[in-house]
Amino acid sequence: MKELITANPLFGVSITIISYALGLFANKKTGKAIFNPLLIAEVLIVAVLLIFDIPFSSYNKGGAVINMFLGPITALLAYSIYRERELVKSHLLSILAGTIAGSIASIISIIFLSKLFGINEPLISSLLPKSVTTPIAIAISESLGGIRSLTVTSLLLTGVAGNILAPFMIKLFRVRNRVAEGVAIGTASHVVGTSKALEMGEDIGAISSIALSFSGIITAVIAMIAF
Amino acid sequence: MQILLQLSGLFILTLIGEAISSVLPFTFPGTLIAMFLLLIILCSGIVKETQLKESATFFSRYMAMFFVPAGVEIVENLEILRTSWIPLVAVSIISLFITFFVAAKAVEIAEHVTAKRRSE
Repeated sequence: MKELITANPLFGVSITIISYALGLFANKKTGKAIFNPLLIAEVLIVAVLLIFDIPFSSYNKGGAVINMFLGPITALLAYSIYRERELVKSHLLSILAGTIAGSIASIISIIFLSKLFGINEPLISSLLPKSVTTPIAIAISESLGGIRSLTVTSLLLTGVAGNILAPFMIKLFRVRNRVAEGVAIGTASHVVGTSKALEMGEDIGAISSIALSFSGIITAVIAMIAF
Repeated sequence: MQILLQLSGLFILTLIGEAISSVLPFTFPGTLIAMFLLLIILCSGIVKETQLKESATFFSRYMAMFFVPAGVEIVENLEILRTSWIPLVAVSIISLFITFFVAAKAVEIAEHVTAKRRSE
């Protein structure tokens, strides 16, 4: 009976949609970054798989269907960049400077800190794209031979931490420029951080979304050249 | 009808991106090539912004849901997480601070330089 249900791709699809909907609901009710819908959905599904002893391969029959949409979703990032083209034009130099410097700092610090804490391959490759927006990060991780689930986990951790800590970091580093705030949030903590940037102001949010697409592209280019 | 056209267009564009990626002499994600193609198509005016509105709105609204399966795969690697979660968390948080600092300061310097150049 259990096998009959879980062998159907619809099992993976429905449990994903239901868990994510529950995550969205919990996030709306509490309004707390730590109740990230993606995080909640993942914890719920992992719990169900472990409790009912369902193999990942069964879940992934449906999971793969949902995962397939990552390609078109990444392509659609072009739509957001195009929509904000005026903002991109007026701050192009600053956005480029911030995202290039930030992406390089992210990669170097991850390699250095990994060595310091005794983390080896393939974990380093999994961590490398963790500041970048999810669809791009998964693509980079896969092309470097990383473990994509670890990439998503560390990426979520970074995003949620960025979301919560952004106001603190702005104070700590004495950032007094709104463009700098937006670029730093988007470059360091992708979409999850950007939702905080949007709360801080529409202009900061827009700059942050541009920065996250730019830093994704730049990180992919660096990964391509350097590894 | 609009949505069917948008979806098939996006799927074909992604396929083209993956095809280009597979023949490249270096590794670069095909989905990003598809993104560049779409940007070129939008800038050239072949496809208008409004012609993508429905699918773009839907996917950006529920984007995070499509990342769930990739993250759930962690059940296959629980052992790694159990043995090395402390260094993984430490690396993630410390590099977040470094990245944030460097990005913010680079923008402040760049803004300063452009402001100076404008006033001259």
